[in-house]
Amino acid sequence: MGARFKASLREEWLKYLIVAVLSVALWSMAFGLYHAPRSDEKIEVFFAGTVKDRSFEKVAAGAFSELRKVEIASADPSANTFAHKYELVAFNGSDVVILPESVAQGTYCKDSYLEQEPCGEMFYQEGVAYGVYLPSAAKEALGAYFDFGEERYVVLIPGSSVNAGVLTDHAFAFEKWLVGYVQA
Amino acid sequence: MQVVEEKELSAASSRRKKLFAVYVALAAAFLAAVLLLFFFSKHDYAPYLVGNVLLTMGFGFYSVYFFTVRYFDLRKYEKYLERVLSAIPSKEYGVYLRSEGNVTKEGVVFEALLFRIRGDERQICSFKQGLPLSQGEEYLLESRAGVLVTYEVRDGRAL
Repeated sequence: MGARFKASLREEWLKYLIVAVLSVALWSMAFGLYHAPRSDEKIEVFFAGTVKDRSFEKVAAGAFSELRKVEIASADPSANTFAHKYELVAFNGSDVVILPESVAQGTYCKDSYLEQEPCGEMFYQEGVAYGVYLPSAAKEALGAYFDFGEERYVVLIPGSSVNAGVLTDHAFAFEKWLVGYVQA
Repeated sequence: MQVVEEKELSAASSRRKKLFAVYVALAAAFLAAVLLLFFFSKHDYAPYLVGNVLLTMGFGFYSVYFFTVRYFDLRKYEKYLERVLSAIPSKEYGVYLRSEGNVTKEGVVFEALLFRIRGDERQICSFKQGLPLSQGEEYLLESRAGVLVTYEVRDGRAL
């Protein structure tokens, strides 16, 4: 069989190659899909700015035993496409949104963000607390991962988040963790 | 001496069916193994993924080899045998000259035997290789579709 198999390998190498490539590709895809974190096992963060270091995703996921993944999406507020991406990503599927104060003020929060119980310095719009200001200590510590501007930043929770009372309360816990973050 | 027999056709057919049954059993075992590894895999699934990729490559390679060589060859042999057995037999005397090695016809390997028949050299093929033929000996040959079916020694005189 050895000699005939070797001869077959030479003659039918393309078929063997296709089998090898398909084995790797299809199983990688199948395992990836099967073990993909569910919506209640991940937190999606939208940051209005530039992300300096994506290792934050691992740091944050490691801080919560119930989370398997933290994903950051970002968009630069000075870019032309910001408004489009902000509406598309922040309001659809994000669990926590970090915005400069000016962007938060320019957003009609009632339609997009959850009202929150006061905890720390709150961001108000029309007398309702929709977010928490990021304290300067946390902003400084998180500055290792995020490129913050001079402005103050606000952490908000979109109403569309499934982790804000629908499936879990992870978004609130994550917000609390962000606001209290001091370790660089 | 009989070289090709009717019962060889059914033997070849049952050999092919048996080979296919073994292949199906192997396929079922393979499927069970990969599904087991897949559904029992943990979140840290790298070893399970590697296991499934290796199993699939192994079975995939065997499948390519099986259908392009083993099963395919047996199927071709069976078809050729069927054609030979249904052909009109021709009997004639011929003097064995030599073997001309292996030849492949329609994917089937034969031994080409050279005979002198009525003054002309003619090649007759044989499914069996290494027949005990003596050079210079005259035989009564029965062939079908150019394939030797039976032979017997006419006499011991060397030509």
